[in-house]
Amino acid sequence: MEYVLIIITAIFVNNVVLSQFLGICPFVGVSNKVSTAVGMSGAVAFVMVIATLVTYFLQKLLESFGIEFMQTITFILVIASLVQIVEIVLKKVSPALYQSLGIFLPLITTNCTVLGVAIKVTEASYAPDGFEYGALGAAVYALANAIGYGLALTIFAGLREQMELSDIPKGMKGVPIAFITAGILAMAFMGFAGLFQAAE
Amino acid sequence: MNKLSIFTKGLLKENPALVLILGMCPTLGVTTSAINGLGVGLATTFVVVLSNMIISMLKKLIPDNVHIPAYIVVIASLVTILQQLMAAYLPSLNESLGLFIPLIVVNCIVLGRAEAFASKNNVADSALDGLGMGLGFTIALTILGAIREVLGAGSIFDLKFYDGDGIIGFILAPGAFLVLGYLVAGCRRLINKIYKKEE
Amino acid sequence: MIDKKNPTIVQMIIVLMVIAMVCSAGVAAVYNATKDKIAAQEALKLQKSLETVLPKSLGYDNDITKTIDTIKLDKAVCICYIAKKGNEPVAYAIKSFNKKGYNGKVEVITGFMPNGDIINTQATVLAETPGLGMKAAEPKYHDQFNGKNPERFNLKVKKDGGEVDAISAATITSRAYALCVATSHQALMQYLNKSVNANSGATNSANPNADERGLENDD
Repeated sequence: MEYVLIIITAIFVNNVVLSQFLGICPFVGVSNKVSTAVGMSGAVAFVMVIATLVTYFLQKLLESFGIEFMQTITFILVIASLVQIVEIVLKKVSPALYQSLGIFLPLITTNCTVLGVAIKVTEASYAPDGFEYGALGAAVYALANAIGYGLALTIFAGLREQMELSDIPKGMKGVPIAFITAGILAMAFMGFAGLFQAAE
Repeated sequence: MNKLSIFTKGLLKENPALVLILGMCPTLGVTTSAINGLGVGLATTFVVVLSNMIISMLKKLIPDNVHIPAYIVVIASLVTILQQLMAAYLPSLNESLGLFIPLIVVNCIVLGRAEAFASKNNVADSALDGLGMGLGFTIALTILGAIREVLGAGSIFDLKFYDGDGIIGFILAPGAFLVLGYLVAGCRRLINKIYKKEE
Repeated sequence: MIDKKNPTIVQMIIVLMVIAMVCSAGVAAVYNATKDKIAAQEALKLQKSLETVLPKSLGYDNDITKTIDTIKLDKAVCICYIAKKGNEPVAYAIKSFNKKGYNGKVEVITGFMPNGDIINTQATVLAETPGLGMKAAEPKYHDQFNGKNPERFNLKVKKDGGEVDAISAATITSRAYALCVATSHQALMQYLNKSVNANSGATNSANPNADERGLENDD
């Protein structure tokens, strides 16, 4: 039950992009076409799950040495090297997948969703009441966030494809109208906020 | 390029938040009030100035194909140091900015300036560039925060001028996107006006 | 020197390692320099919160931050700070938390008179939406608890059939806050009952505080 709650909360109620403002730069940058949006989402999901799992155990290691203040440095180094490793491995193992995800991989290092989710998993106060993330919980949480990210990115790309065809005032073209659309999309996602109140 | 224009280009013409559309996460996430926008803006300025200087000093030593990990370690250390200093000397601000201080690490402005400017220019110019970019970012965040605070909470810099609830939507996520959208459009218009006259 | 375009693998490793070591050393140095200051800031914050919920006018003369006891409930562990005048407890401050806030953890210190009346409440951890849930930190919301006794005041929001006025558009936060107060009250009741038991001859008084209370009640 808790896993269902984690998944639905992460995808809809606390969507990483639309309610937590993580990963906005690629959200605006690569959301011109649905196909690139799907590719980016796939790459993010891939890196995010692996990175969250690795940093989950890394955090345990840091805690055992009592050097939690090194968290940011170690996490970002792990993420940066992980992205490089994923890139190299993917190139060798699956050239087809590398073709479709390759160009997005370097961008992920500076996608704050990955670091943000990795940090959030280590802070017990973000977990649902009376629930501690295990390794499995961490992976599920990361995956759910990645799905939420992909969902928002893909919907948004679809909207922007349509917008290309419509008549928009000159000053609002491109980025400004994209933000306003995102605002309305965020408003729609706010409707999910009441989802779990009735259940209590 | 003269020294003055290195500094001033970040303020309006190449404003990182409103023109280059970089560093969007803190831009949207922390600007629920003017004071928060100002706080994160100044924190980012601190990091970008120092990281630009350090990277400019190290530029001859770092091999090209490991430059991203090297830059990011430098930036992450600066951010951690900043976080500790803030916890020690500005605890209340540190608390309200929460997760967004460690996220300065992945703020694309910092890495972006390191890549685009500091790795090619000398220390003094890099510092100026960082200062201009940082202050431009701070100005954008403060304006955005002020607008959202006025509309959403009926106060400015925590001074309440309207008794009662504001338009709550502006404090929440949708308002952030909406206000930023109009700010970007307004900023473009302003740039067009100023720089067309010059030509 | 290092060839920027075509470095050997050893050069790359050495450069990265040196940078990482210097940076880590810098961070560690700042950590050590600010460690005590950060601890002091946290202690100061606790002291201030305690003085808000247990005003000096109560006339206690001990260091409340050091007179601590923990109370274990079924689902929660609360920390109890005891204000004493001489050896007599004049008030209690109980800190409890839950994760039912909109952004997770909400932690509140509640000051109680020995009869269970609430003196004042103060949030110590509150990371809710600014302008909405954060209003729980404003007197307009939390003053409603002052002077109430949870035995006669239903600590649930009005929506749930209680008597707490929720903050508009922030029912979740209001609920979480009220729940903290309720948990603290429950902890206080359990604590006071235990000490009565300790007084009425239960020799199992490993707890020094329970001992002291036993003496006072004899007066």
